[in-house]
Amino acid sequence: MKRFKALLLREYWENRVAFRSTPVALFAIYMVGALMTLVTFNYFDHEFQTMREAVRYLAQFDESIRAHGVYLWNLASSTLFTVVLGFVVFFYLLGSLYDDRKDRSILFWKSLPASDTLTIASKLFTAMFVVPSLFWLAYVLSMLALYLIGTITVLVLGENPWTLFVGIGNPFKAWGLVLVSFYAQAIWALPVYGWLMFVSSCAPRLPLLFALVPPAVFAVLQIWIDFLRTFTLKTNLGGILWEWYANNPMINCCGEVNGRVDAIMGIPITDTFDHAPTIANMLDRLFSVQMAWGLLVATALLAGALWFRKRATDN
Amino acid sequence: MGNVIEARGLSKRYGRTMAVNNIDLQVPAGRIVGLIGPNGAGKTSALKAILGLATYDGHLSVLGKDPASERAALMEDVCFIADVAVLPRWIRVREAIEVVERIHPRFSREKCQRYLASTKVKPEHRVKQLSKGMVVQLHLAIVMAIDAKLLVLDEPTLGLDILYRKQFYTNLLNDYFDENRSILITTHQVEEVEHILSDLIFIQDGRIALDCSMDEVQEQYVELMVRKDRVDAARALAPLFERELMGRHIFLYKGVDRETLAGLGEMHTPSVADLFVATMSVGGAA
Amino acid sequence: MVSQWNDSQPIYWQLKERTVAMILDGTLAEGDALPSVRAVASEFQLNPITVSKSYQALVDEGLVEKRRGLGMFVMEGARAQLVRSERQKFIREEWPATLERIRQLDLDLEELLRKAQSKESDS
Repeated sequence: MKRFKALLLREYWENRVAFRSTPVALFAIYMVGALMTLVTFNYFDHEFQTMREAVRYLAQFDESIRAHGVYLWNLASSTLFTVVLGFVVFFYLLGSLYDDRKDRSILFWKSLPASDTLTIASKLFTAMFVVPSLFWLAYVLSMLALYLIGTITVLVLGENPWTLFVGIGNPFKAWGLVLVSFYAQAIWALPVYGWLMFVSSCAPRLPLLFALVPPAVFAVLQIWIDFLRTFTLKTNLGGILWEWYANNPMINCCGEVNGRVDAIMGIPITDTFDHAPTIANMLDRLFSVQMAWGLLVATALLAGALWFRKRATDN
Repeated sequence: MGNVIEARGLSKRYGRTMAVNNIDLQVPAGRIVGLIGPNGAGKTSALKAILGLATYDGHLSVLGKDPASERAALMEDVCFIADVAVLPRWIRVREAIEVVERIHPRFSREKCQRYLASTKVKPEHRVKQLSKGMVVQLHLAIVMAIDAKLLVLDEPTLGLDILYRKQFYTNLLNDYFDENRSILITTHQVEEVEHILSDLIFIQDGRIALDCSMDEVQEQYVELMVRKDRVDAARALAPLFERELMGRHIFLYKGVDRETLAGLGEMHTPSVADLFVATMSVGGAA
Repeated sequence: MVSQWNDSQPIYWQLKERTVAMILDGTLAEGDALPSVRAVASEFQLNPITVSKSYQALVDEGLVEKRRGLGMFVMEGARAQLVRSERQKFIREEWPATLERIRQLDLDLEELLRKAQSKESDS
């Protein structure tokens, strides 16, 4: 256990820029964005007239609608974090079993009594839970800061921030949902994570290429052959990947319509999952047959990664 | 105490080549063994097998364990320095110490800091800021603070300047080695380790060309510098090797009495380097 | 790298000889402790086994004794014993060899002795 924690520490120290500086940068972006908005609004009129009107406009709405709006605002603000998190985790896993082979530091790590299984487990755990948690923390801090800025602004304008937006809308539920969705997504993405770690463990160089090209080639071939045979674009890797993306437990605020989402960005979804961002729906996916298949694939890929890792040295 | 390293019929194949070809090897406890051979001789492959970094055929047991399947457990009692450049460049000194302390049950932080106290290495330094010599000082300090039973050094002083090289072996002998530990060293700079070795193994083309203790070298091998007129007599005694140096003929004998050679010229014990050259050239005149 | 050890004799023997020389010239007095095996090993970059062997040789010759828990110590009478045995060695081996050399070079022995004695009385 102590060793596992030590390995987690290693992952954090080794990837400080990605794991700490990036969320901090996102926080900074939000702050800068908020301040720029305030400045812009007041640049053209120094009586805060535009802002007063905006605030009054908001105050007009029914409280329940406003509450819902605040709730959605909290959810939607997580998007930037989610997207960047995806990139960070992608590249992190891609380098996780490759970087120390390239710079030969694997020889140092292998001279320590930590098994390859534990090493891979620590990297997977970091990708699935540690990094998302750090990004979530930055998200929450950003929201708190935005709440603070908003409160001050509204107070200055002479309105009541509490009734306007702070005391309504249950932000905690949104934040909790985001956290759970991060973890749920991690589990859902296990096959992809497995693939990335597998490539990382055996690619002789340019792991990004090895990670992207084979599936792309495979998908194209499948789609083409399929098309030639059945004149449709259904069961193939490309389709499967799309289904995976469309069905992941991520919050799909943009497509939400009365709690059911029929399309995302205009492209129809063929599956039967309810897309409303609720925990029940997430669990639904996680306990589905697709997830079971995914876990099987993930296990196979991770076993492969372990096999390669055991044999890896500095060449 | 049993042998620290025990290999029988150890082989390693890469494609068609046998990097290590059916070797037998024993390293008892409390010895300093030099594994010497030219590049491509198979020493690195043998070392990797011993350290659980590569698979192999045959029987190999290190401290009673099979390195291929029990690497992590083995690493609690075995340490190695694979050569100067392997400490992660991004890590800080204090982070490296912290990680090793948490992972290694036999690491002593006080010892490590004591060894570092006499160097210029500071806790806040990153490895990439340190000079090569300082990186080795750090790695050695970490390794010496681990209570291991076997230390494997693969060209540990490669590329270091003389000050660091001398210090390396001084520290090793002074603070680390004792009768319960064994050290296995590979190096090209044979002269440097010649006197600290207790045993010698020559390896060439994946096979062991020589395996004996330094005492045996002393007893069995004689180098004879012969005057021109006694050369034929010297040749008649079946030397292992012959070379010429500034008009004198130098013969290397194995297992020949010193008395028999007494009248023929000056005798002395061959240096490891000379013994190496003699054994590696497939017996015969230079 | 030039070794400080010659290659005609085992190193442990040469180390023993050096220690003997130190006892003879008084650097190591009777009752003094010999430096630890480790210290000597690291100072001269030798295998500690080699150093142990040379210390053991000193014990075998009765010059040095091992005190449990304390180390190796020069024995009482070691110096006297050494002087005696070195004298014998000189008379048996070195003196005849020197005489032979003097004869070989065609030098006059009495002339040499007279010169040596007058130098002694001068200083």
